[in-house]
Amino acid sequence: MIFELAWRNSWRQPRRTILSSLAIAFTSAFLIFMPSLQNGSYAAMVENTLRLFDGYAEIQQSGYRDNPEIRNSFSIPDDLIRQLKDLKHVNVISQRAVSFALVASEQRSFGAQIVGVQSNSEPMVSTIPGNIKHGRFLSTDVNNENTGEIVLGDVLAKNLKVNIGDKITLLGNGRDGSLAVDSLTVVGIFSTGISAMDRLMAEIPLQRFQQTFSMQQQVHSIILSGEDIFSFQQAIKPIRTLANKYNLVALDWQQLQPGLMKGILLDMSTSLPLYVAMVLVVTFSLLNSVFMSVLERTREFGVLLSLGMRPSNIAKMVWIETLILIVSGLILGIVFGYALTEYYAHIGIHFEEAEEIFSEFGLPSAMYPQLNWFTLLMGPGIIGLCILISTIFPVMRIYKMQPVPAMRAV
Amino acid sequence: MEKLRLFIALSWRNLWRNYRRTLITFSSIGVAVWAMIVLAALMDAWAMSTFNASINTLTGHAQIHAEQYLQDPNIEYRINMPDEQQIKLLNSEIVKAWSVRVRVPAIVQSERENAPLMLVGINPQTEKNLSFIADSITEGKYLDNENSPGILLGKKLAKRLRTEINKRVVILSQGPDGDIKERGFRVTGIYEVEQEDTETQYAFVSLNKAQRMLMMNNSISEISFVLNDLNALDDFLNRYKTLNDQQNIKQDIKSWSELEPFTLALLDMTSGTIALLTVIMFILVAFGLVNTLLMAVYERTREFGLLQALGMKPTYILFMILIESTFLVGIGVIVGSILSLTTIGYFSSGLDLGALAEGSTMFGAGRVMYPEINWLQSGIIALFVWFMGIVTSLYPAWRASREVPVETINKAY
Repeated sequence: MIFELAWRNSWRQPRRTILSSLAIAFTSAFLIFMPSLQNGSYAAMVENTLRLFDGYAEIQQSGYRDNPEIRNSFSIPDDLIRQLKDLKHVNVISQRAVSFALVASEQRSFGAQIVGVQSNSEPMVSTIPGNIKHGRFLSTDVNNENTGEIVLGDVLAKNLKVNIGDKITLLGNGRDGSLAVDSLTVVGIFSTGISAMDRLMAEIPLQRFQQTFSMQQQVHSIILSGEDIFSFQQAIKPIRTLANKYNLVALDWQQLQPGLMKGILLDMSTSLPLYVAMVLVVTFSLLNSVFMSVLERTREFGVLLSLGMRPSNIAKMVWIETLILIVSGLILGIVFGYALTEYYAHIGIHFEEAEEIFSEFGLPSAMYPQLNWFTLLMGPGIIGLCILISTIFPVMRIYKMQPVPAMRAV
Repeated sequence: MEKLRLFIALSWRNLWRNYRRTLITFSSIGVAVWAMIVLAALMDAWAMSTFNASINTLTGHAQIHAEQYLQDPNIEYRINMPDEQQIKLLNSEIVKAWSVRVRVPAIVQSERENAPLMLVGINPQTEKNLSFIADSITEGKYLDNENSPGILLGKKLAKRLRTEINKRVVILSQGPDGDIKERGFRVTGIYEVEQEDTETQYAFVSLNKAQRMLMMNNSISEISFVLNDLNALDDFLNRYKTLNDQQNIKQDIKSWSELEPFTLALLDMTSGTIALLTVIMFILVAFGLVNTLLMAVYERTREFGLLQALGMKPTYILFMILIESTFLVGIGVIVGSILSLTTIGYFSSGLDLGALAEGSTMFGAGRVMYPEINWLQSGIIALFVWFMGIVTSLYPAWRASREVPVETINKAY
């Protein structure tokens, strides 16, 4: 009976009920869409940053991260690669060696970071091989891995004034302190959009690197990658254990890109005040609405009380009226928010003008919101809860009402 | 006039007949306005921090180079020291500081390691007012004069090179003749900045030593300057260009917005986001406002009927409700603005991002934000909410004015 009363009461003022529900719906939809958008952009940022070069995890000699010296290399234990391959979620394993060296063309010379890579597995851990703008990536022919090929960043190539097919000389220090000299042919020029990489980086076959820099069979890092970063995270623990067994260390993505996680936290915490303010505004406006609906019915409640209805039943009625508002608003908001988010998750939100910003942050120029149960229900849940809590105040009014004065109220 | 006074008195009292509703409405508008203004100020502070960081890291408000230098920052592309007339222009009052630099790619070698970097030859005195270097020395000291023999390295680079104060490093770079020039420098200072990239990217030596080492005589790579007032930049650049045209000097003059398109895009995006958030927030406020005013109108239908029966014209009722909402929204807006200005004022001495700073330096901003009261922006937000609030209340006001006297007086409660 009380539910029926509450339902009918809601439709005595259809405009108010609809407006209140719409306010809840609008806010819920916004609080579904925005966090999903952030969620999607964080995921894209993490994926893009890691896929560019770092991989999802790296195994190194302990101390290499703080001191990336050519001496901090290690020989790969026989069983390590096989054991890594057996781990679930680890799909790709690639080895690298890194050193700074002077690269010189006929006219120019610059310092560059030379990376020795395994040309067959490198394209699966890094997007640099896929970002070759001219020429091709290092040849994957295993027998040919010793060839003197080099790919370099477009800014570096421009600065060196070299093109595909040109020879460049490499001059550096080998692992044993000897002079490392090599002559290589430019086969490809890549462009990642990250200026530090395009300006400073060059990749050569790992075996060639090991020869030139007197590394014997040693490397500086083993790069691991998988399906996606979230499922891969489950493999981190066994990777750590395995690395420790051989006196090596494994770095996860947060250690590889310490700024990334902090950046995400910072972005979350700057958007938080906005969300809090929105929830507050919608709570206040609903509080107002419920308060009014109680106060304007003082006379009516007085009559109900004098007819013998208990205050708790009237309170129950008001609670149900509020619940009707909240539930209808939330359902509407969740449906609308879900549809909106899914729509944009499908077609993407394009920022053509801001492409430069996005590429600096490691984002593509389109963003895809990512919906999950958390972003779908978190915002609406908080809104519903806040409104419910605020309804305590108007309900308290009911308990204070005395039948006779209430009936006399205008 | 008399009528207006009456309306104002009527509306004002109407507001306080139901003080609870009025207070809740104030609060909701106040919170919304507060959030909008504070968020806008924070986003601005963020953008300014990025702007300052990029201006401070050698960019300045504008730079002058040889024509091809920016595409290919090489020693081949040099300019002469500014001539008498250019110096006269650069010394004019609107310029806060200017300096000349040699800036070429080089390799630094310590006993243990080597690394690529940009070698920057500076005039220590004039550079001091222009960029971050002098203020960022954390070990050793800044360069004394144009002939100082030392080199300043970033902390991260020094660590990577395993070198320290008083040790020697060797710089290798290409001279104008294409040959590699080489010279040893003693590390006399270590600098530390928030952007770690900067620390590994630049090493600073005195201008004369750089010029002598590279055998580039008295030529330089760039002139950089900052003005006292950024708004005067376009005008100043035009004057410089005119001066160059008169003397037939071909130089590439670029403002910060052309040198740092990334920063410009970020600033643009910030103002767009602020506008968008303001509108979204307002829509939310509007729901609450229409609701409150509609209710206020409905519960008073009898009263409006009575007023009309007593001879009050419908337009006056409309007018009265509008004045009511002007007060209702206005006070909320004022309270929200005062609160937000206090909040911003409280943080204006610096809002330390603390643990999150690493994230902010990744985005190119500093670790401490300095939100500033932007009167124009705050005013626009406040007036926008106020104005739109009144517009929103037109519908309830119109409803109220259309009540038919006899019917409403008889309306049973």
